[in-house]
Amino acid sequence: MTERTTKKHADTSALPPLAVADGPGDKDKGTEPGGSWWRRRRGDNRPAGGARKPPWALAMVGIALLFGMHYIAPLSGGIYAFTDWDGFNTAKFIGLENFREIWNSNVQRGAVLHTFVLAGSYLVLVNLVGLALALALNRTLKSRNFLRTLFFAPAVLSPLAVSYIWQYMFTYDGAINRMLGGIGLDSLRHEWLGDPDTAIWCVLVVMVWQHAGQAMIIYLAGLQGVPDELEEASVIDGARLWMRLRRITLPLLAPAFTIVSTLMLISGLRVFDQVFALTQGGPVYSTETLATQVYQQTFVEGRFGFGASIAMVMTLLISVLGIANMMYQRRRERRL
Amino acid sequence: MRDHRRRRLGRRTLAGTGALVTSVLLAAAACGGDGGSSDGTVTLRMYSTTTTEPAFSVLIDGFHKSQSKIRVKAEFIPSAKVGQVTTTMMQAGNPPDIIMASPGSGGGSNGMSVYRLAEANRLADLSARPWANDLPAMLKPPAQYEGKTYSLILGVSTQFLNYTTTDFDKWKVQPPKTFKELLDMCGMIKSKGMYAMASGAADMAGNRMRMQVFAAANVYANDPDWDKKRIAGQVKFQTSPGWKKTFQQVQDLVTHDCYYPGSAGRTTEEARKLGATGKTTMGIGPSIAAAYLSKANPGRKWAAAAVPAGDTATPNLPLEVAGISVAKRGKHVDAAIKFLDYLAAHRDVYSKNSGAFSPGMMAKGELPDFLKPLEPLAKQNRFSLAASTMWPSEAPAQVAYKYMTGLHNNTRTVDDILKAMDQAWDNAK
Repeated sequence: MTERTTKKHADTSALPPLAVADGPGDKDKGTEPGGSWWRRRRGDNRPAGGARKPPWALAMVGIALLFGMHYIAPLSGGIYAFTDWDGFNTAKFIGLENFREIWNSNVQRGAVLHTFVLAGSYLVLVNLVGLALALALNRTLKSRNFLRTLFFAPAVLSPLAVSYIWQYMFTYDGAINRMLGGIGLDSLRHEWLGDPDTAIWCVLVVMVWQHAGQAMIIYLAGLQGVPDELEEASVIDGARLWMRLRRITLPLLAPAFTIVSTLMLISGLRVFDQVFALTQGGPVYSTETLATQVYQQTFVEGRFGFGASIAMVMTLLISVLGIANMMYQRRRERRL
Repeated sequence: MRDHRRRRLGRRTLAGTGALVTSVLLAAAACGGDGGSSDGTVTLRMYSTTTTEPAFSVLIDGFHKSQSKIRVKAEFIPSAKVGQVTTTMMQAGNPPDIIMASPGSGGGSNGMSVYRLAEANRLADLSARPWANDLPAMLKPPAQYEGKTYSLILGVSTQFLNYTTTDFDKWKVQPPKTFKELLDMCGMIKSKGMYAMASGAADMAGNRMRMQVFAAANVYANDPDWDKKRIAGQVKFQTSPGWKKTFQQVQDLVTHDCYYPGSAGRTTEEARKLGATGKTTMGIGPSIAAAYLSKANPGRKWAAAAVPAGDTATPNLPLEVAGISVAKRGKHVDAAIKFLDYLAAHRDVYSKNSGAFSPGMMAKGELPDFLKPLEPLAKQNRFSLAASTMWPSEAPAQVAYKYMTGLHNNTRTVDDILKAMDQAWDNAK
């Protein structure tokens, strides 16, 4: 008992002075209810006037739910990646057969390639456009708030709805070809979504159009942290616009760049809606991505085991590339 | 004093939160009931495609009026979602009472074939129902698995050549009777500043229709047992002249400028709009497409003819079979079977409202009014099940639909398609 009391006393005394001292003006420190002695006797180590610290045990329910719903269910579902499960009959363990098929199938290899092409190009373009918009709208324009809203608006729309509108624009009789015809460029009229060479870039255009505003907002927030004094000092020192951008603005935007690139890389790697609505993976598999293949194999062809293996490959790719990108950007931030 | 109050407040908050959580859980548990109510009424759940809504709405209303103990709660969602939703519910042990399983083994486009679900013991045996054997011989295999009936065949539909009499009468021409006539007509129509057809080759539905029509004429008209031979490994797509001709004819239509430009990037729905707006004069499709065209532009009149595929003027008509099943592990199997009994007795209502025709009409060689020009073929029983209905998996058909887009943009050849189909068939597990 003595030992416990002593220990508690030692623990409490280890708290910073503010945490144990009562407010000035207390006549009888340590004896009144609410005083440090009273709290120690109660076994209460909360700061004076502060909230009581809940015991860790209370968090266990939340932690269990988090793991149960977010991690255990998907991880246990991952077991099906090693089976030939068709969704209804008993699953048979087939080892790495599904992964071998992914490796050997032209369609699956194509899906991996298209996923990388889309994610990589999207990452670069959405950063460039987002940054350009942010720099352009970080000025004292009268219409800047309106323009910011205008550029950000597509990001809040449903990707499916946006893609269906764009699909109409890309058709042979759609707005883009009509516009080309209208300005005398009939020779450039094209079957944009029907040509394997252009379809994937059409998907990319829609992705960038929709999410550049999101990147712009993050960069705008980052630009608020660039001190005006630095800009002004560099102007006095004779630094030109490009030099100021390269030496001052961009290095200070490094944390924003880390956030944008990580978010956009992940959303690029798991792109589904835009592809599904615009091309359904076609023409002839030329826009098929890992996510669309998960859907096709699982729900159209009824190969749940194989679909799970593609989903696992996709998850691993996203995790590895996402973490690698984050680590690289953080290191870059420190160097800057 | 302040601390004391806070502590009481904390306890109250905790107790309140606990009560709230408990009540939410209890409410959630109450919501997840078995679809029954205190007055003995049961509610059946079903998910079907949006295209079937007109027919089922009428049938469900009629069923509700015919009795008071069973209610049917139907949700109509896009066809691509039906399989996804139903499968997920079945896997969770909470299947809808009524299941829109695709008759046969191919799986249709939703991955839920009668064979697959029956093999997994997910469908109720309907063999004892009075309507179970009331089918033409051709429709029994898709409804049965290992000798037991698992599906009520509601109706069948076919694809045909839909042409506008408005233009044909003006030009004083008749619909083509041979494939060569069709190709020649494409040139004539183009000289009038229009196109013969619009193809929605960017999605599965359009390519599926074309494959079904041309395969019925070129493959199954000559060899009704082709599927059985392929399953036995006696034939292949690559070595079957009928299959080669099937895709060659699709390619011929492309090379003869029969299609409005931009097919490879267009969906079936957009293709139909071109017909309604007077840019094309013909189309290959089911009755539901004809109904859409008439409704979209009442000024243009449409009529039906057999697609002049194959060598003869009497091609086969491909049959798409619509069926409905009962979940064996559903909560109200008996009530669901009663609903199916009602549907079986009102198949004519389904046909009338869905552009299909009933198995009874098919047996007698009769077709709905709009399809009367095709009745001579029906009288000769020139029907064949749509290709892939009885294939062991949907994979070869899916590959074909994807590759057929390549015929429209010259990125794939007929041989590429046949080879890919054979590979998909052999790889299917």
